[in-house]
Amino acid sequence: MERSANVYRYGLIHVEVRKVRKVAIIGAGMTKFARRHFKTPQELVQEASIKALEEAGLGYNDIDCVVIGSAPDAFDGVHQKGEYLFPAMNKPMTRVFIGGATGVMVPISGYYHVASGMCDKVLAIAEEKMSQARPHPQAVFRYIWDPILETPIGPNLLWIFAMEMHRYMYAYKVPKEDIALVSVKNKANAADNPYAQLGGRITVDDVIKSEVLVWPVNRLDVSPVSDGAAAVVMVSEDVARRYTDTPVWVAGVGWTLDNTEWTGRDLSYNRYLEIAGRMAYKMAGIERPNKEIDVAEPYDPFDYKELMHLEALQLAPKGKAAQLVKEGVFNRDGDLPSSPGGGLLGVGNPIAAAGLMKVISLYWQLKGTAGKMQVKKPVYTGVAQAWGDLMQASTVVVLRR
Amino acid sequence: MWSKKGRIEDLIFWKGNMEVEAYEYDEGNAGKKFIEGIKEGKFYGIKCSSGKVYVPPRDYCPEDMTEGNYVELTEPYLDLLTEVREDSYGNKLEKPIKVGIIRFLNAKGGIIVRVEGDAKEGDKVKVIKWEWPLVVGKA
Amino acid sequence: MIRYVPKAKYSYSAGQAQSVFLNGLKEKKILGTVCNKCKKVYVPPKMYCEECFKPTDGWVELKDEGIVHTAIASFVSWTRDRLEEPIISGTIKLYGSERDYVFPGMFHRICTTYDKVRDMSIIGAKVKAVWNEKRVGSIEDIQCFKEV
Repeated sequence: MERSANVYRYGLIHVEVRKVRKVAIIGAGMTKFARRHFKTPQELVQEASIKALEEAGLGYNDIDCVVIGSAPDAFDGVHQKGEYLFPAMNKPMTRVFIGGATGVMVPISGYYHVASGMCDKVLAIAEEKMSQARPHPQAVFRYIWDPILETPIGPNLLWIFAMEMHRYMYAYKVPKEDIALVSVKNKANAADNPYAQLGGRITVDDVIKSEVLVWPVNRLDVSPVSDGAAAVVMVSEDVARRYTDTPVWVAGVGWTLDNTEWTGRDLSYNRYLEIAGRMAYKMAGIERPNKEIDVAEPYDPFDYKELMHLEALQLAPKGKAAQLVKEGVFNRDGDLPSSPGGGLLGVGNPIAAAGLMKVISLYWQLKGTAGKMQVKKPVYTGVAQAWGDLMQASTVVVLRR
Repeated sequence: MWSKKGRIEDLIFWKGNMEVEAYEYDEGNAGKKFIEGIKEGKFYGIKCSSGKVYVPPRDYCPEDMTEGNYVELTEPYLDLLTEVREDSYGNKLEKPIKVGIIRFLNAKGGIIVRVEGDAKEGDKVKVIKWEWPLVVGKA
Repeated sequence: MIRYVPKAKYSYSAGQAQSVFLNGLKEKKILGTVCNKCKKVYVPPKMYCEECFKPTDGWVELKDEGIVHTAIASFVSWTRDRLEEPIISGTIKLYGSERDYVFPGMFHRICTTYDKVRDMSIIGAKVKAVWNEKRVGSIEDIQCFKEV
């Protein structure tokens, strides 16, 4: 096997990026994100898939392989995800799952399906129906905690974010007001996104004065609970050249899981994302991310999370992302637009579908079809990312046009 | 040094109950059509461009993800039959219940039903109760 | 819309390391495992070292004291009902230096006031475990960690 010098090492990680086939995204589609869809998951997936296939100029029977992703089965209360999610039949299908990072793992899996030479045309789908669990999806989130050591204390999912946010605020002396600017920016960006659930003009004051859920997290620091689906069509180079003049190439992918005990880890910095990001950058030949990345789609289920992720992706110095938000660097007309489509805070958070939505938003930016969401500067390279499990896992995709 | 004790009496087990008040599942477009059909005493399936019919219907064809047309299906027959003697928790039922799958000629798929009387596999059946779960008996 | 109430009951195994840890709590001891190769101490304990990928080399008893790594005050319950009095919890660093990225740490309630969480004065504070009178070998044998 031909080997390149493209070796990525970090601690125990040793990844050799061998010479593989180029992979492009040539179509993307998603449903509107909403608090509750009355369609079945299959119907949501079908809506997103058909849009993606239409853009790609392909029919369902042209597809070789299928990748699906959705969050833990307890969220929608169904175990048989293959049958339940996927609306069609007779294709090799893989389900991928790594918690909240699943949404970006779906196109990564699609990438290696094609890059390996196994399949030429892959339909990669992510879906989530958060509205099915009663009284609130919060109740099911409880079971991501360790049943013996953590659940007896009575935590809910917000705790983990609050703990991380408070450590971040403490370690880098970042005030809540500065963090709230991310929520303001993303919700305003989402106002131009036709798929968004919660776009709008709000102020820092609105965020600070909204209900305190778990100090330091207020209601408007959090992305909404949503239903939705998203899909992309990923193909090999020769197929891409045949079907479109504007393919968007997958330049690099990376993913990591950090150590298994979140209680014994510094919560102010996301080491796992740095590792995953560097892996993707290495593959894409990016040496100075903050200079070479034109647009970023960091995962933002909470506003502070976008800041931490920008830092771990090496797009902002440690603890300085909030300052750069203040200076407008991450605005749609800034030097390094971040979440120009509105992110999870604005568009909504159907877990797996939200991750894929991040990749799709980036795809639109690179293709130049983002419409009112299009950033001002010309864009050539972008990064999208998701994060999952108990502050452990991260998935990164670098796209290039 | 592997400081493993390995004796089961030294280990702790923790009982947990996955509490969720309930799940609320949506039937979706095709599901509604199907359930409304049952209330009116009709079975609906979906006819694809290839000519094949699928039951229960879906919002689209499973073959190629294109839209199909609803068609009414008649003359169900009992394809599979089994007897249930225990409930989901392993408790013995007072009286065994019969469940089966009914299918239609020229249609793919089937519907789970309760079976009453002495209908056998392959027999034509008629619906005794147009309610969920459906109850059928020998035609 | 179809409604279904699940009844999912489980018996989770605490396994080798955690069983010893839980039985240690019964005797007011916080036990961890140690790896002699990288000197890492694991609390909650593990039977293997994550860094060296080999079995850990034995047990150590840690002090039931530590410093607060992070703290929060929750006004919502796990079903998202509003709570009048917040539950205050956080992670406690039991051992090691402030600069460590990975350390033995515990997640538990912290006995302090909402104000101290709000102004962050509790973060970095030294705390000690408050043990329950009746202990059964559960994480609940510790009532909370309280400032000293």
